[in-house]
Amino acid sequence: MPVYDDSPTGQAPEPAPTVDAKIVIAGGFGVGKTTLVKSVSEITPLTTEETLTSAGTEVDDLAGIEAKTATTVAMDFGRITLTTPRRQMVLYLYGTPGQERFLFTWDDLSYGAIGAVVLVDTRRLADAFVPVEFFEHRMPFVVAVNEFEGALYRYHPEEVRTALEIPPDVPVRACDARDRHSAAGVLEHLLMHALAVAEGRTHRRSLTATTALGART
Amino acid sequence: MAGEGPAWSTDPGPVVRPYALTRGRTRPAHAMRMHSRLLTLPSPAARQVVTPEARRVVQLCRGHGCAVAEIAATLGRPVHVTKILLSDLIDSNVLMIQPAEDGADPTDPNFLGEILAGLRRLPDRAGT
Ligand SMILES: Nc1nc2c(ncn2[C@@H]2O[C@H](COP(=O)(O)OP(=O)(O)O)[C@@H](O)[C@H]2O)c(=O)[nH]1
Ligand SMILES: [Mg+2]
Repeated sequence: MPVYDDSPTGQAPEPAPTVDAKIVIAGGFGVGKTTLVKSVSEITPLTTEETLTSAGTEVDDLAGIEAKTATTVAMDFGRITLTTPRRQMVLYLYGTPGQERFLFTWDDLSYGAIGAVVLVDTRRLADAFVPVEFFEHRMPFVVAVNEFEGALYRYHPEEVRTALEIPPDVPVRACDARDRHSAAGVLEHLLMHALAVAEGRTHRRSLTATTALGART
Repeated sequence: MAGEGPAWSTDPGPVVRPYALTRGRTRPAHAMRMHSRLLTLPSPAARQVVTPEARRVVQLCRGHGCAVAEIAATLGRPVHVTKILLSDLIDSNVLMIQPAEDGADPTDPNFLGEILAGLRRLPDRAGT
């Protein structure tokens, strides 16, 4: 790493008291990830791409990218600047597709994240299985059921919990990804849950709860 | 955002482009995460970058710096290609990676409490 004194001017860069935090927004295609990020982000959501091969293995090396099998996965990226009495904090939101073949990007994505939101569309409930399973063993997460008017039947969050075998201590709630209040409420809910986990008021992984359900074995 | 259109595209573009951008390099020499924050150094090197891409990065990373993912999105480049570019700029004494901040532990209740309080104080959320 370059040392400040390397520069002839001898000046340090402007001090950056900015502290970063991040939240992962995961879910199937079309579930409303981009919409949710857009609702709360202070910038127009940006999309980054990560390269992957059709085999789904991480391309940590660009060699071989010329192969026709290479493709890219788009991720949304938003940001919220929070001012606290002590310092400036920037909360980053990463929206990522929940399909199994994109899982390899999630280690980088979820590294250091304070938690995740798994967005669910009740018309395609099964899309949520992979992300739920992934986060269940890694970090605090909440499940947000994005309500589309087109859905034939409006599921109760508890029905979604049962269908997806979500442990009792993981919050499940309805939201409208298009609504800023609702979307911000989901993040707030996640923070409350992550705080409860950090303070030991609830189980991070809820092993007992999962065992009690007995359904995952 | 870059002037020549949206920074995103569903078209992955010609595959030779990454090689040109990274001058043949295929992996970044410096380890960084998608959310790692890069800072522009007050070095002469930072004022002397020549490529438009590098100039954009220098601009983005002034002051409080910028996260890798945001740089990638702004440049309209894949994250991996961006990391290689940034890595080169670190080697040239143009940028540095901001060291992990104390008190940013995602399992620390104080840290989480601070974020929660910040979320509740967002301008149009006060009082709800
Ligand atoms: N009716 C309704 N439409 C929504 C809602 N959230 C997202 N959409 C729409 O659903 C489509 C897919 O949403 P998008 O955010 O792009 O999904 P993504 O693939 O998960 O990023 C878009 O046309 C959105 O406008 C919602 O809560 N209600
Ligand atoms: Mg999307």
